[in-house]
Amino acid sequence: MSEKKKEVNLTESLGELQEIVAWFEEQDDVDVEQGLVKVREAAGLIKGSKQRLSQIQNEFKEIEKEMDITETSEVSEDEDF
Amino acid sequence: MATELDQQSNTEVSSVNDFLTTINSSLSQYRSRIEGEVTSVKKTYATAIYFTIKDLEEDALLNCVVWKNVYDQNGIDIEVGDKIIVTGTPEIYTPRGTFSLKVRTIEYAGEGALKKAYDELKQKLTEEGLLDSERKRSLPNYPKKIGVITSKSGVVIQDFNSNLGRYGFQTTMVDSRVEGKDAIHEILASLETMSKQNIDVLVIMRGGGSWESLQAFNTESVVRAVAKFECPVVSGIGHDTDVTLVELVADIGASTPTAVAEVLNETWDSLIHSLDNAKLQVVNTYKNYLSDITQSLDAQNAFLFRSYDKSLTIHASNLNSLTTNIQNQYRLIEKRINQASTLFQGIAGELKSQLKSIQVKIIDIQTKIPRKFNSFINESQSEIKRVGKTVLTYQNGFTESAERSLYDLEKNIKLSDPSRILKLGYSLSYSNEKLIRSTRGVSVGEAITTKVSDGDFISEIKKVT
Repeated sequence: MSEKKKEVNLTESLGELQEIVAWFEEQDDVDVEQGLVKVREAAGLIKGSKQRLSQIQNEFKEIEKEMDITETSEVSEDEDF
Repeated sequence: MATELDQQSNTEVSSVNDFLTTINSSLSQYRSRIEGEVTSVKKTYATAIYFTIKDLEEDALLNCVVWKNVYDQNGIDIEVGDKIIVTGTPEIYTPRGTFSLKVRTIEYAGEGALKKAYDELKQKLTEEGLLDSERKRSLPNYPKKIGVITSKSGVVIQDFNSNLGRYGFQTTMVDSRVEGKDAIHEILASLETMSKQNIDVLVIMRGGGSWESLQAFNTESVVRAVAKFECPVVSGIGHDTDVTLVELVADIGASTPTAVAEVLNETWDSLIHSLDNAKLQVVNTYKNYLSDITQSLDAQNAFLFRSYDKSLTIHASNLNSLTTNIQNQYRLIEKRINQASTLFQGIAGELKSQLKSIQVKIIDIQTKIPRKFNSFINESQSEIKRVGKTVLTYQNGFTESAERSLYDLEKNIKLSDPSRILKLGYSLSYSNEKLIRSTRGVSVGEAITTKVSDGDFISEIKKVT
């Protein structure tokens, strides 16, 4: 059985986190057991989101580099003149 | 030439035509620019114009002939007295044996004359609207196919190429003389060639020079050809003072080859600039977005843990409070237990001594009881008998009284039974199911029901008294 970990979807995770935050905001008196479940869930989401964010930032840096490289290579191809 | 003729004369006899043809062949190398004053002009022939010019100082005359189309291309309408410079090759017209200069270009001699001709043509073109800014065409965005008319050997083309952006331009170049009046024909031919090419923009260039050297670009035929060219024309003709008419009629006039290249680069540069801006915008926007997410994650993290920590603190505080409360209660109970214990010990002591006292008394009683107990038993038995008797008496009296009451009650009930009364001969009459108790309740003619002991009957009232 494949144990490949499902890639975190940052947008979805942020949405779920937002819901947890809203849950805490709505509570006048936080149920300590329910609160613990939510905090544990939020901690998992935050950890996953940060990891995914880090991946995205790295990919983004790569793309930035590629953009600059592409620009240089385009110029070097036009040597007709 | 002399040597050639010498050789011919020495060997064989030529025909007139051959001789003149040989002469003309030799004369063709004497292409010259000659200045003189027009002394006569014949414009009556369909194909050529004949005129003569004389030397400005000496007594010398030169016959000139120019083809009509060439004359028109030169754009100068000469008159007797005009001082002109002609370019051409000498030739003997064989049918007539006349010597003349076969003219290619005609231009006015002297700055003043050139300026006059320039002003006149400019005025004419202005009146026709050819110089109006409204008719100027814009360059297409991102031009790709560029037609270039210039001299291949000049530095102009090098400057142009080195300044042209590397945007994949496809240039089609036609090498043309651009110097002097003689360039007219080549420029016109080049324009004709370019008109058949698939190009986005036409460029006509030459470097700076004297006013005389720019005459081709002030020539009406060239100016008109540029004006009617199909695609936008960019001119790059260097000049010191007056702008050439080609530049005025061109869609965009740039003074140098570098400026022409920049004009062509402009939309491409703008595109690259836009792309750079777009790239920066995309990158920065996304960077900001990622930064916002990072901050948001940190803020949410802090908020959630702060919220829960606060909740935990409250719960811990409550727990402490409860613990303290319970401890206090425990101490209170402990205190009371202690108090009770002390009290109990006191009571126990008291009880102990009381017990001892009772024990003493019991022992004392034990010694006395047999005697007194018999007497007590006897007294008790007598008392019980007496009380029992009294109770029985009361009980019998009560039973008799109850039986008598029941009898009386039954008797009364039996006396009150209506059926017993009916059996005695009495009856009960009803009007509308109501017992008639008085004559006031009935009327004559009314049907009434009468109940006797063994049934009912209905009768009609005849009279009421």
